[in-house]
Amino acid sequence: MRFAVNPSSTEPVYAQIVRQVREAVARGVLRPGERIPSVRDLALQLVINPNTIAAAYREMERAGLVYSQRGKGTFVAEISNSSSAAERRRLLQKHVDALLTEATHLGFREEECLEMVRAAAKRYRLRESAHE
Amino acid sequence: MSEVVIQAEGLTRYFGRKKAVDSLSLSVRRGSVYGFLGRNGSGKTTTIRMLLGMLHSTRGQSTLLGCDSENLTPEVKARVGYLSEGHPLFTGMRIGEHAEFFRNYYPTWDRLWLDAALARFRLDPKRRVGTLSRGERAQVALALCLAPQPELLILDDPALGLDPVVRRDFLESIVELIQTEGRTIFFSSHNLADVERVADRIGIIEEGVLRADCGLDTFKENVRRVRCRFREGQRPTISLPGLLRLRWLENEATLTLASFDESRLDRLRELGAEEVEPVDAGLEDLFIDYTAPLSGRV
Amino acid sequence: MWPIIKKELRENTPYLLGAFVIFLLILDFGAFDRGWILLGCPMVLDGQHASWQNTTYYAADAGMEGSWNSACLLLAGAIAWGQVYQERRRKTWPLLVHLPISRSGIIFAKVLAGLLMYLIVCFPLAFLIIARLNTPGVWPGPIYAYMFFPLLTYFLAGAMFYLTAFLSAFRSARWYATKWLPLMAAIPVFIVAECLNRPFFFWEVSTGTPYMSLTVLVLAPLSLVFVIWAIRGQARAREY
Repeated sequence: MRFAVNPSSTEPVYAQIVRQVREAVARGVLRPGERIPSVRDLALQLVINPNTIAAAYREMERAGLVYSQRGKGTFVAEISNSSSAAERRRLLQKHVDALLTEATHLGFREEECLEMVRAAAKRYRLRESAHE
Repeated sequence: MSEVVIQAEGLTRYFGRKKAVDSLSLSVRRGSVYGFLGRNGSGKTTTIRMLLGMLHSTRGQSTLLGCDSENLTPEVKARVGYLSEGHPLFTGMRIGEHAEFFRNYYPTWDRLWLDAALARFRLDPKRRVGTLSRGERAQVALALCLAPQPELLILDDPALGLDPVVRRDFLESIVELIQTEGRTIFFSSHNLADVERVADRIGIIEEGVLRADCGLDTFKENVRRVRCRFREGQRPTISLPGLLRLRWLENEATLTLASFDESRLDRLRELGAEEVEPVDAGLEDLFIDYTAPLSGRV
Repeated sequence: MWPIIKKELRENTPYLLGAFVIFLLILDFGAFDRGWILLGCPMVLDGQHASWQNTTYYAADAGMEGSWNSACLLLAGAIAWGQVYQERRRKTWPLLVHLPISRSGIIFAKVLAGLLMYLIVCFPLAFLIIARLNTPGVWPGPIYAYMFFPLLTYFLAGAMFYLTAFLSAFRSARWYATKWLPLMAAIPVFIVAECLNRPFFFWEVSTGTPYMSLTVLVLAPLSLVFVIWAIRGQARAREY
């Protein structure tokens, strides 16, 4: 996976990295169990202060996105979410609203919109089975 | 190891009647990469010289690695790397001789690293320093500065006159150096894109006064650019606390605000703005607005 | 200490060679009315002979004393100012000052290097003068060792001048007029050198004004101490 950061952006660099990893995992570009570069290597590759990279990694570990094994490196974790069904719906609702707001302003019909979502969903690793 | 590697309190320096540095106080912690920013003539080099004990302060004091700047012991000096403005070198010597000259004085000199660095730049140690191009001289000066693996590195405009490839290589050396436990870097630079990549704290000095001294992220959170669009033909007077710069283009205004928060956006909407949104601005843009000449400031 | 000295020597070798040539020309020029020192014309004899009491024509006095003095002075001054201005021009003082040794150590290394360079140029030339005069057919008359005494005294006086010149180049004096003040400290030493070269003159003067000669004799070493102390003080105080 290729990381790319824009230090001039208002979005903090560590947040950019977390976002990119999340997207990559969601799309299957990064698979569970796959190793991501060490803090050291990534800092050198991107030429960014290693503390920033470390902050990103800490955040990702905290969020359960990655896990690290001493001496072996940092690995992508399985996609899992322990929030309640209601909580999960609430979190996604925001993004649904944002999507539909844009779609309305851009003049899309409901079917066109849903079609786009369906087509795009194929590129993501959405869960197959239902939650208990 | 102590936590604070550079400490300055009330540093002041006059040149004749001109006050070059005015009551400057700052403190740099171990492990930090501190970007010391300021326009030409704002007092950066004077401050750095005072920190290194090369210039007496008119008032105030400072310490490096816990040692008073005016009485730096050789033991402390051996742990501090310094690159002065313009990458000066002894032009009569060959590169190899120059390295040997310094090697005598630094017990922590990493010869292998230096040889590798010179090889990477394709610099033959037999070449005379005087025959090197500007960029090559800078590369040598930087390499000689980093070779003793200093605990504290103080650089005065290290990227001056360097091409992008050399600059990037230098940044990589910085990143590599800072990976090692306990190293600190304090550097002044006009290249804000580079500073943005590697610094975690910045200080902005303006006409001798330290006007900002905070984390880079904090600075970028607080100093923000906002774009707002008004109705056709409208150009209301915008007066907000912390407004640094205001530019109009037709009915669109781009403002730069210090101490930004959401209430400012609301205030703009109250003034009649139809669209209000913060925009991305790099450190360079923010710095320019932050240090804009007073006449341009609102 | 040694690396700095080696550095100074290495960096200035071409200049020293040039200085050697110029020094030689000055000497030859000075000996013009007595014949070229190296190019073979025999020296003209005045009919006087040298003796300790009756001081006047020492071999070095045979037209060369005047030029040996001036050449030593010029050399010493050039080396001192050259050393300071070279670093200033290249902006390399910060490089030196930041080295992990004491400030005084750095400056004294430079001063020692300067004196060494001065020696390196003067020594062969003095040797040339002595050798030349000892060559048969050049100086009609016996040659006494003390004839070459002025070579030594002016060499030493020149070394003193080097120290004062270094100090004056090194100080950052506000008014440029006062920058050259340290050179005054060399004056007592030069007077002593003169007196040593012409004891007759010295005795003559001292019988006339005894206190003046004594004062000068005391001042000379004091000057030396003062200059060394001042250099040390400047090394610490100087702003780079």
